[in-house]
Amino acid sequence: MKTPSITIDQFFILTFGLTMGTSILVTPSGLAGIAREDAWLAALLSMAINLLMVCIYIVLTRLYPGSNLFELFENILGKWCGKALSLFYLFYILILTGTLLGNLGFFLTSEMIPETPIEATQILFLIAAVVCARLGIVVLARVGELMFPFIIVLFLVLVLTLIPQIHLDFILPIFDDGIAPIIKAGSHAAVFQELLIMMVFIPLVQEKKKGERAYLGGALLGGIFLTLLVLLSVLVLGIEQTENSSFPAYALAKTINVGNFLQRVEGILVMIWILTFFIKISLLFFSMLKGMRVVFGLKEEGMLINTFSVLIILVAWETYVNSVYIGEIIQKVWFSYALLHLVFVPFLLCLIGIIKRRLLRK
Amino acid sequence: MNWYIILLLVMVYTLIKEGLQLKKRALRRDRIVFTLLWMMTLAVLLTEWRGNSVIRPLDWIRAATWPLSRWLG
Repeated sequence: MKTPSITIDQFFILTFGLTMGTSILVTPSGLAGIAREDAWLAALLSMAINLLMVCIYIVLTRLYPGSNLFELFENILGKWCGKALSLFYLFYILILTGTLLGNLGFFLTSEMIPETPIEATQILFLIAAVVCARLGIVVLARVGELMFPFIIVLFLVLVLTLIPQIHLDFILPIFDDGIAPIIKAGSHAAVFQELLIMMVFIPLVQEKKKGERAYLGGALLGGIFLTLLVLLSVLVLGIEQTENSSFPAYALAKTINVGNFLQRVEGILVMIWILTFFIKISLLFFSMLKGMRVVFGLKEEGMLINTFSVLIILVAWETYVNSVYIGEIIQKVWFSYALLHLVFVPFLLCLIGIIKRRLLRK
Repeated sequence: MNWYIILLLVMVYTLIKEGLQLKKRALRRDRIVFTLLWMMTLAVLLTEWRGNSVIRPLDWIRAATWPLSRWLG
């Protein structure tokens, strides 16, 4: 069977979509809650941390070129330890997908379509991801290419129409509480982009060197967009509203009013969010299928799609119980859990891989 | 509306469609993995349907990462 391949531009767009998906709506509130007026600095730090993480992932992929994330585990740790680690990662991705789907349902039913059952919105969205999983990663990459100009234009419209509402004094004073809250907020926000997932797809890129640059570029552009959004949230809404709103970016988009003529265009933000969310959830779905293929040595993974989609829905219903529960989990639990998967383990694997290579050379 | 019925129907359809295809293609390992995953999902679905929330995965994660979370403050 011919291995599918994706172009550098497509890989860049998918990385960008993964960075933006979901974070666009929820990140400003988390950052403002900890770093207050310095939330935008924390967003910049978060972007820097993400770029550093991508560098670690690139070093890892260079150790065993052509291997995806799950194959890397087996190459570095050996067959059985690698498979065991892959199972932990599959669980992480499953819970992440379910939680994100829960988040989508919660947002849509609380802010936009309150009379529609949350289950219906989640199932409909999952159907789109299932169709995408059946068609393959190349189709998702092409869809991403089609969506990208719309995402950029809509984002520019959002930014430009918000400029008249800016209050520059809302970000003052800078460094009022010192650097510690910025570091805390920045590191917490950095674990919500899950850029590690792209390691599953990096072997599909034909030109390796340019692929690595696209990996970094996608993370950088996504980070810049998120930083801009956080900055605008603070500049337009102020700290209190950014911090206390469940979806500050949506509240921000609601404030758009150009000459009492251009109003109620929050749909723009919802469009950006839904487009990038679709990319993110489809990538997570694909990575789960790829992981199952590698761990269990399957000939094909298509037969698992429907069963996985039912499992994801059930996880979504059980994880996103209510906003208080999920808020507590995000604040107290998810950071350490994600840090383990996104930083500690890859860093450790990187060290083991380098040592192993040197020993082999000797 | 009982959403669990829809999920159960999807599960039954999947079993018939994918099960038959796997049987035709004689992929033993694929069939075992598919059956195990299908049975696990069905068990979760039925438990959920009965109202016993045994799978609160975030609670498991909270318990498992408690030492690390405490250490990180």
